[in-house]
Amino acid sequence: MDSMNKTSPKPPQLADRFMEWFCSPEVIETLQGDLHELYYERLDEMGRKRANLHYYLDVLDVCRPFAWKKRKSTRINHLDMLSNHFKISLRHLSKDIGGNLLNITGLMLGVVCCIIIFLTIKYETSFDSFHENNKELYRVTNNYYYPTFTMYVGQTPNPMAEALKTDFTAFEKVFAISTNYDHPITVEEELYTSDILYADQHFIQGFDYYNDPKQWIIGNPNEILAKINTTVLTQSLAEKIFGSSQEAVGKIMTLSNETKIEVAGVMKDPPSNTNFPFEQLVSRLTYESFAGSHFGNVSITNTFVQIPEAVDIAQLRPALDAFNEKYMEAVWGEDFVSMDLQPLAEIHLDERFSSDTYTTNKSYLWTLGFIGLLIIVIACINFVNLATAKGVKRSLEIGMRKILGGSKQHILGQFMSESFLLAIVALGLGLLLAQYSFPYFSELTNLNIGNDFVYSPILWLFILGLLVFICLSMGLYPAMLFSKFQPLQVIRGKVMASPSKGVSLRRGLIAFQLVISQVLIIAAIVIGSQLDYFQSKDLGFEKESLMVVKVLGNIPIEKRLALKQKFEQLSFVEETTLSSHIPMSAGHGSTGLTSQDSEIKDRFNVQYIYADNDFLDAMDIELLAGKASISPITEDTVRGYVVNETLIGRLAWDNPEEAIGKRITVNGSEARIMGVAKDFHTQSLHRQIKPVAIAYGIRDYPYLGVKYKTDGLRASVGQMEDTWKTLFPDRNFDYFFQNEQMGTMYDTEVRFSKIIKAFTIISIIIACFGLIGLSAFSSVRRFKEIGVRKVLGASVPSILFLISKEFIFIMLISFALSYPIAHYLTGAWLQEFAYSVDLSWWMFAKACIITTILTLLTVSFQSVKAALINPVESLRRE
Amino acid sequence: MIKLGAFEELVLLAVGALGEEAYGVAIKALLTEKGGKKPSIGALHSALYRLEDKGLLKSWEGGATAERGGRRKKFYSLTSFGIKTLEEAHQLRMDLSKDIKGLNLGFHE
Repeated sequence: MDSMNKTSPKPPQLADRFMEWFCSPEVIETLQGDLHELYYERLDEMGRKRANLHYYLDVLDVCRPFAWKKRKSTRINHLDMLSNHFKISLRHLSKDIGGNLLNITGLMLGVVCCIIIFLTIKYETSFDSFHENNKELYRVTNNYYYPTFTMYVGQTPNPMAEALKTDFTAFEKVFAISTNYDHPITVEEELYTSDILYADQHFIQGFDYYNDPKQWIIGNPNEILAKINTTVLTQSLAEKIFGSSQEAVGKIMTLSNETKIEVAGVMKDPPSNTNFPFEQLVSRLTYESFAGSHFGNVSITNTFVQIPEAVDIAQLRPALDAFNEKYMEAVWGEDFVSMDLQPLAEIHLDERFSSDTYTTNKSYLWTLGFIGLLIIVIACINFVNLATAKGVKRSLEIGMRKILGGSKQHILGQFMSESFLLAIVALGLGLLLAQYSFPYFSELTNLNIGNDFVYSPILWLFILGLLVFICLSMGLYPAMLFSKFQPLQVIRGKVMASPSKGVSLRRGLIAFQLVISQVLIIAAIVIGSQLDYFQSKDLGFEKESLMVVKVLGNIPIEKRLALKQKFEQLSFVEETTLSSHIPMSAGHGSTGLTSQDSEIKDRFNVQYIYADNDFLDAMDIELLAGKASISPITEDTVRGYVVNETLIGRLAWDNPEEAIGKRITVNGSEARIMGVAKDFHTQSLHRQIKPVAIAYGIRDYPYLGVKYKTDGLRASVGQMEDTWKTLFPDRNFDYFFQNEQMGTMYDTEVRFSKIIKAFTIISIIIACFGLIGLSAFSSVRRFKEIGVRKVLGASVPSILFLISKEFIFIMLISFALSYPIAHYLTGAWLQEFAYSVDLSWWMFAKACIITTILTLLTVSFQSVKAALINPVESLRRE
Repeated sequence: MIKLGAFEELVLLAVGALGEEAYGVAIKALLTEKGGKKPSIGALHSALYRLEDKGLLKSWEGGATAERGGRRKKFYSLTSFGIKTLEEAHQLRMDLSKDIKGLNLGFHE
C-alpha cells in the first residue's frame, strides 16, 4: 500500500485513451471499472510496472467486437435512399435548366480538353515503347566538350558498333542503323525520295516489334537484310512507287550514288511514335560498301546496344570510359569527348539531342498537362459558385431534411449525388465530343498522332480518375458547407452563420478563374507576337524573293554552270548563285578556323558556305567593306573569303576595313579575307549568329539560289521547268521557296501557339459561362431591390453599375495578380530564343482590355435585363 | 435448445453461484479460484455480453465505488431461461454419464 500513499498511481493514461477511442459509451464505464479494479489489485501484488503491463494487455484483450463503438444503426435501405437522392437531384437540376446547361457545357468542354491533352501526353511519352524489350535497349551517344558549350550527339562514328562488339561481353546485342531521310532514289528513270534506314537483321531482332511475322508482308527481313544490295520497302512506299506490294518485289532501285539495290521484301509501315521511322530498309552491307569507317567522322549512324535488365548500367561506366579513351579520345583528343548510354524510351524527350533527333520538349508536355488541369478546375469552380450561391434557396430543404432525421451524411450524399450526376453527363458528352474533335485537333496542331481515337484501358482509368476528381472538387465543398447548416436556425430564416464567408470564397474563386484566363490570354499574345517577329525580323538577307533549285546528284560542273546561265536569261530572274548551302533553309557547314594574322591564335568554330561570285547579290546581303567577287574564280582552290561581322569581332579586329587582306584558314584552305558582310542569320532565331566565312570557288554545288523580280513567279515556274528539262530530261525539277521552307523552322512554336490559343478560347468560354450563371442568379435575387431603387428614381446606368461593380472589383484584382505570373512565365518562354520580342506593357494592356470587355459583356447581359425591367413587375412578385 | 459453449456454461454457473454479487472481477476471481485456470478479462466480458444477448443473463448497474475510480459495476443474474438452459445442459450430462461404468459421480443409487 505504500506505493499508493506516495503518488497514488493510476492506470496508464495512454491505454485508457485508447480504450475510450474504441469502446462504445454503453460499455466503457463498467468495463473500465473492472479493469481498474484488477489494476489496483495487481498493484499490491506485483508492483507498478507489471501492473501497468498487465493493464495494457487487458485493454488489448477487451478490444473485442462486443466493446466496439457501434455505427449508428440507421436501418435505412441504402438503395432506396440513393434512388431518392437521384430523384431529388434530377428535380433540382431541371428547375434551373439554363444554369445547369451552362455548367454542363463548360464542364464538357473542360473534359474534352483534358482527354485530348491526356492522349497527346500519352502519345509523346510512348515513343518506341512498342518494342517488348524496350527497357533493355540503349542508344550510344557522344558528348563533345567545346570550350563554350557541350554538344550532345546521338549519332556515332560508323565503326562504333563493331568495336563495341569485340570489346564488350555484357551486351546481348550491338547493332547500328544509318538514317538517310529524303534520299533521292531512281526507279526506271523516275526520281523519288525515300526515308532510308540502313539496317541489318540484328536491327530487326533488336527492335523486336519488327521481328513479328505479322509485320512482314512479303519475304523475311531477317534474311533479306543479311545480303548486300537488297531492300525491304514499307507497304505505303511500295504502293506509292509500284502500285502494289506484289509489283514491287524484284524491282531495281538506284540510290543517288548509283548503287543499285533490289526490292526483296515488303513490310508494314512502322508506327508513327518512333524516333526512327523509315520508308524502306536497305541492307547494312550496302551502306558499308560505300560509307567510310573512321572514328573521326560523326556519320548518320545510330548505334544501339541491348543489355539484360539485370545488369546495372552504372557498373559499365569504367569499361565505357576505357573504351572511349581507346577509340574516341585517341582520335578527337583527350577530355574532348565522352560516351553515354541513353535508354531507348528516353530518346524522344531528351531535349539535349534536339539538333539531330526528333524530340519533344518535356516542359511543353508539363505545360499542356497543367493547362488541362486549370481548365477542368475553372469548370468545377463554376459549379461550386453556383451551388453555394443557391444554398440560400436550398436551406429550407436542408433544414427540413435534418429535422426529419436526415444526418449529415445524408445531406452530403444528396449534394455529392447531384455533382456526380452532372459529372457523369458531362464526361459522357465530353468523351463523345473528344472522339469527334480529335482528328481536327491532331491536324490543327500537326501532332501526327493519327486520327484513331483509341479506347484503351489506360484511357478508361484516366476517365475514372477524372470522374472522381470532378465529383470531389465540384461537390465536396458545397456538400460540406450545407451539411453543417443548423436546422433550427435555417428554418427560422437565418441562413448561414456568416454569409460573408460564402461570398468572399465565391469572389476568390472568380478572381482565380479570371487570373487563369488572363494569364492564358497574355501568353497567347506574347507567343503570337514572337511568331510575327519571326516573319518581320530583318534576317540580313532577303527571304521573300528567293527560290532555291536543288541540283543534287552526279552532275558535272559545266552543266550546273549552263543551268545558271540559262536561268539568268529568263526575264523574271534577277540574279542566280550556286552555293553549297542556303542560310536558314539548307544548312551550313561547320569547322574550325585559325588566323595567322590575328592576335587570337586559338581554333574556334566557324560556319562556312561555299559559293560563287553572285552569292551576296542574290541573297541581298549587305557588303560592309572590300569586295565580294574574285576573278578568275577557279575550281580547285579557295582564293578569297567574305566573312561576317561576328567573325571580325571574334578575331579582335576593330572594324571591317582592318580585316581586309588578312589571312584565315578554313577547312585546310588558306586565303585572304577580301570582304566583310553585314551579319545575317544562318540558323533559326533560337540561336545566336555565329562567325561565318563564305569561301569563293567553283564546285559541284547542290543549290542554285534564284532571286526573282515579280510576284508572278509561280506562273513562271513552268518556264523554269522547261529550261531544266532541256538540260536534264531525265531528272525531276526540284525546288522550294525560301520563305515557305523557313516557315517549317518554327513548327514547334506555331504548334504551341495554336494549342495555347485553342485552350485560351476554351477557358475563356468556360469562365464566361460561370459568370453568366452567377450574374443571372444574383440579379434575380436582387429583383426587388432593383425595383425599389427604380421607383425611388435610380437611372438604368446607375443600376447597371450597382450590379457590375462587384465584378469590376474582382476583375481589377485579377489583373494585378495575373501580371507578375504572366510576366514570369512568358519571360521564361522567350528565354529559349536568342532573338526575341521584348515583353511590353501593351501586351498586358491588350489582355486587360479583352478580359474587361468579355467580363462586362457577360455580366451586363444579365444586369441590363434586370435594370430594364418594369419595377411594377418585380415588386408585384412575391 | 440453445447452443452453449463449455466456457459459457462455466460463466453461467459462476453467475448463479455468486448470487447478488456477480460482476466482472468477482466472476473472474471465482472461476480462477475454482477452476484453477485464469480466464482472460476480455473473453469473460465478451461471453457475458453474448449470454445477455441470448437472453440467458440479465444485468443492472450498481452504485459507484471508490476502488474503481468512481465507476459503477455491472451486475449479472440468471434469467429463468438461463436457469432452464443450465438444467437442460446438466440433464444431458447426467443422462450420458450414468451409463458409463466405473464412473462414480456420487449420485448413483
